[in-house]
Amino acid sequence: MQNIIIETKQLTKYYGRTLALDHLDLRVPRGCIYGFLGRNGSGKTTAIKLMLGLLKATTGSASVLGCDSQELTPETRGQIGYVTEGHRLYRWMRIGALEKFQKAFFPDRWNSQLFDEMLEYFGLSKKKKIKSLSNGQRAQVSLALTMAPDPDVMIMDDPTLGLDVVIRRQFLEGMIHLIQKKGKTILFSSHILGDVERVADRIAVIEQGVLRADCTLDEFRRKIRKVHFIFEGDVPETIDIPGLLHKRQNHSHLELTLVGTTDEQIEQTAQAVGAKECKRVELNLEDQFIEFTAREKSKPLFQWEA
Amino acid sequence: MKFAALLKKELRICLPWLLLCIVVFGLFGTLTIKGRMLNQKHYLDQGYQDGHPYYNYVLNTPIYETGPLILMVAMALGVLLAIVQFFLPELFRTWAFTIHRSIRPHLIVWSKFSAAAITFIASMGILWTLLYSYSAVPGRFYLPLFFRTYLEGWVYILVGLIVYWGTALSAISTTHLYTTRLLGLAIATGVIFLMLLQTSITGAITVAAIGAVLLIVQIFHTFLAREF
Repeated sequence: MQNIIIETKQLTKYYGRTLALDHLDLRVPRGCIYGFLGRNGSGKTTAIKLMLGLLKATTGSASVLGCDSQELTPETRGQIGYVTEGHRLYRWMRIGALEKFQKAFFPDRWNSQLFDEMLEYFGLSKKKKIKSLSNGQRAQVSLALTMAPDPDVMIMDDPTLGLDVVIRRQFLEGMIHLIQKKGKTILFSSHILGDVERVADRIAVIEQGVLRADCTLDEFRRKIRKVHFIFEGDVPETIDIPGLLHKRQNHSHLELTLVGTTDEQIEQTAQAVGAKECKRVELNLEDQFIEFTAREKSKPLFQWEA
Repeated sequence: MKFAALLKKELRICLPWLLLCIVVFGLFGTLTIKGRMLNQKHYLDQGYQDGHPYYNYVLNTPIYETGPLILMVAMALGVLLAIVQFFLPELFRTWAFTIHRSIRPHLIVWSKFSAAAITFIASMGILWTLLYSYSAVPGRFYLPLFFRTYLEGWVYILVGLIVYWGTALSAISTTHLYTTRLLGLAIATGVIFLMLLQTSITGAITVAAIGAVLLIVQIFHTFLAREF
């Protein structure tokens, strides 16, 4: 039995001269809930579309369920549930008609009971037309359509984008329902940390097309740290510390964001630069993500900042 | 079953245009033929008089006048069907939802072509056959109809299909404007021009067949090679 369900090797994509994805190496093991994190335009959708063979890689390769993404057979596609970004469904169809349409492609796998239960849970009638649904309701229909055939792997492109807190929670609960089934693998992209934190057991962080982290959530929490070095006199202009991501100076404070730096290395550096005090700042996952993916501030946001 | 589901969806997309086509073509086709029948009767009753366009009203078979109507309606239907089937999925970004399913992608294209062909036959084809059959009843018109006229009507319907394939190719092309995006429409225009220049039905059908093969092959190539 295949243990790596989704794999990309040096996956690179250029749109014209614009680099969208830069040598992405990912391995999603069986049964894993994989949170694919990144800011808008970071390359998440491109990576997902490449995995599904909807885009062609400039270099590198991707495979799902052991099948090359460019050569996905109808049988393999049938095993992969895909929630498109923005939940683009046929606007003119009613939910009931869409169910019949989708069901025809999964004659042996379609779980009508699950589909009906999900619609009931979300409070949706089959008579409703897709175009009359809100974004959230469309997301719910999309999830029900993807889950009803009981796919072995689900790939969801920012499924909670544009949904309010309540709908997002419902959507994630729906996802957890699927997770509870043994052996299912889910990769979902998001830029909402709370969502990822709730369900993912492994995350990948992508920024400007480059994979910046691929680890468990706990590892990510452990590795991203922020420390303040407090000085009595002048703050040194340069500082040499392993894993330095950003540094910011605030009067006599030097604020450092670090990746994978050990306590020992922090202490040693603090002594070496003559810091009076070294304070560790607690970061929640969202702060960690922001620190990790924030680009260098090029200019002040407001005039008075200058 | 899978293809049937795709075909049903495509037919549902085409249905409003099929109905519109029946109304427009049915209405104007009937009006044209009925109008000429009334005129013919009027002039026959009056007898020949100098200065009257006697030939036009009596000797010329009125069914010929439906030719330009068939051509215009078929071309408009071709453009509309190609837009709803190939351009709107681009606009509403539903291609990914359509493509990612347990079916070979070329069947998606075939389902669209089949639905379009059915739409053309069910609207224009049947109506044209009815109009012709009505007009061909002996005694309705002064001159008997030639079967060639009926076939010419079908050639004009074929023009509509060529326009459909040309527009479809332009709609799914994603690369440079002048090298490929307009290629479909350019090929279709050329094929139609050559078709209408032909003096024989066989010649027109041969040109249409060559054009259709060219466009269909290019549509499949573009569809299977492009990104979604």
